Amino acid sequence: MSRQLDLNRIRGWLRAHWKLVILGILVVLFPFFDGFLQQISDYSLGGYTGSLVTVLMYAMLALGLNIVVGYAGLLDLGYAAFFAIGAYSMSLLSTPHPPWGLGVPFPFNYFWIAVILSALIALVSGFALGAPTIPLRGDYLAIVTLGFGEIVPVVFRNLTCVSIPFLNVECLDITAGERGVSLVALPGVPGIATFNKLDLAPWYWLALLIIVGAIFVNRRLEDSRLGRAWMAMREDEEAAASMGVDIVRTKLLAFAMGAAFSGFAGAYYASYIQAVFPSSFDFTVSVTVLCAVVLGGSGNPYGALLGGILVAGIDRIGLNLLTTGARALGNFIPFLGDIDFQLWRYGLYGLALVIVMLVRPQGVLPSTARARELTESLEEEKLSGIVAAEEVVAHESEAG
Amino acid sequence: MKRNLSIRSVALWLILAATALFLGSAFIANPALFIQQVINGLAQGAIFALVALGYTLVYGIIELINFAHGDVYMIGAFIGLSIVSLMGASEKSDSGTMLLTIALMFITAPLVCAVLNVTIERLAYRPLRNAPRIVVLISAIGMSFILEQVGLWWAQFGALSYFGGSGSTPKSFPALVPKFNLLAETAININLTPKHIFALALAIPLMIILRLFVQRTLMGKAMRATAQNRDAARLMGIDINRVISLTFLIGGALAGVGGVAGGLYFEGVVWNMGFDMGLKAFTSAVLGGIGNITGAMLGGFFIGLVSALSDQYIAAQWTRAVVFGILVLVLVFRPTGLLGTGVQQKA
Repeated sequence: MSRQLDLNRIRGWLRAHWKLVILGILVVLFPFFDGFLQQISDYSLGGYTGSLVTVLMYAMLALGLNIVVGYAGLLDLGYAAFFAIGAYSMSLLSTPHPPWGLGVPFPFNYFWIAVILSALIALVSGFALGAPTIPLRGDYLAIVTLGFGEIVPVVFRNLTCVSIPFLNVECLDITAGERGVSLVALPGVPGIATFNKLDLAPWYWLALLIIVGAIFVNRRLEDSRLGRAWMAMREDEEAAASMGVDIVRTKLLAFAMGAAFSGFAGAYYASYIQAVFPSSFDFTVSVTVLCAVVLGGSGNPYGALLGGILVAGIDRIGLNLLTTGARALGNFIPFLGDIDFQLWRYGLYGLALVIVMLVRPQGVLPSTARARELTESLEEEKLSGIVAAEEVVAHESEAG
Repeated sequence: MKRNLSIRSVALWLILAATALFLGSAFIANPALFIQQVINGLAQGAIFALVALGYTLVYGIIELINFAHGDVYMIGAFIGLSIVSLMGASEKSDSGTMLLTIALMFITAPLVCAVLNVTIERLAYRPLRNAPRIVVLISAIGMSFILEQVGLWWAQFGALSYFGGSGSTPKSFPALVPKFNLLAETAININLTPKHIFALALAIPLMIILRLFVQRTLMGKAMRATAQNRDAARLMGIDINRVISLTFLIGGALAGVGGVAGGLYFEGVVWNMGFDMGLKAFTSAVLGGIGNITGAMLGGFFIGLVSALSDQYIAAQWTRAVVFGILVLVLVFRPTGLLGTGVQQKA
């Protein structure tokens, strides 16, 4: 009886969501299409799996920042700092040749353990960097996070000669500066999947798995007591505090959770790229992720996912496709023959940001709650009398 | 809470005392070197201050971190260099050509940048006046990218292609303001050039004029009223849109002046120079107390000094961390900035 019911339920769900299921299957099978596309187009198209891994990594970061910006409403302009901390932790824990010489012993340099440690280190640094910002709000918070985002890469770049006076340590190289740290541990599941630099499909599937996990965590957090506290804090900090929300704890947890996501993504990135350089973590990364969250729809994990895919995907793949397309047309239109949209990326990106914000300020896929707030606040202002009073003034000045 | 505060103030005083001790010993060890760095710091601080004024004015009125402002500065520098190439001026030109070029640069760049800044506000910020602030911020970031693209094209295909290289390579700005040492004949071992004096002599009068404008004129009063409470100002019959446009006009003009002055002082332009200058200028504005004009000037000089001293006494590669470290410390200990009064933090 209950078995029958379950089958019916599954059938009903499939009927309602069949488009989603097909999309999911296509996404999972993409690496095979990619190889096929490469073969039939004689390598002028295809080969996007590697770029897609990077795109998915931005989506991971966007899902993490969604917690900080979307749920808790804390404007973070230095999110790349935690990404850097995660990537550096991962590479320094697991590389066989760390800059200081001797490598970290076995259990800690094993990929899965190192990943968890990196996320934990990022989590702790989220607490540490979040603590001084507790009394700050709004733009002040944004500026302090921006400051941290600028300081962290500088620290990683310059920790090349550290002397510790009492331990008799002189000029210890910790991060190898611009040379970066290379040879990071590779993930692997014995008997199921092996990871290397040549076959990118396992990386892609792992990234998909992480994204699914991140969305799940996002959704669960949204419905949790903590998630509701975040949203209450986002709407009105004083009101939330007077209702018994512990602001310090709530804020710190938002920062730390976001940082842990970012650190996790950083660890994955370090292993995927197999080398970590201080220049990969500048302000552009923070800005790109923030744009992804707001563009996609702040406060909605699917929005953040879509935003991450759009923002990074257009940059990594879209421009390439556009260039290929335009050049194909170039046979007929002379001007298009040697166009390269890669050279236009800043302009196109900027234009896209401005236009989306003007046309759809709530983002492409806004969370229902936030969209409602946005329209309500406009209506409130209309009701608040200022507009009405202004109309009266205008009317009177016309009359007299 | 009281206890908390006292721990904070003790920590603050300790940091200040340590800094004073460090700088004092540096001064005693080599006074000439120290004074040299102070001069360098003040001169570059004057340029930071010019750009910081634009941030502080705009933030004061519409509470927006105008990310595109640094790139308006970059456009100002590009206009300056384009005029140099159109006039065919260089370090070796006769003084008449040089003076004419400098005059033209300082007339054209502020005009164009002022109009550009007002246009940016019209197109990208005004339609979003009632939207959440983060939306306007993203729009500003978008504008910043668009301007950087313009800079890239300008350097590649425009008047700047005259200087060779691709769009993304830095172009050197001829030092039209002479660099000989005014103190060469004296026993003092300090390099003080007309360039240093030029930066200060340009920035300080402009700041005084701006301050007088805001404090003494009717339009300045309207600006202050709008900054204090936009809705109340609107009810008093102030045309808010005009005031905001005027604010962007002034900010843009100052960025244009700053751009030319920065090009002349740092002797180079590149398409992404606005980003770094923007960060430094914005830091200056926040340090001084954002929204506060005198604060932005002092903040600019302060950041200039800190950068120069840190370059000399810590290490150039750490300067960025020092500047932002100070920013974080100031905001944590005194969130309203050095000169900010008890303005409420706006969420």
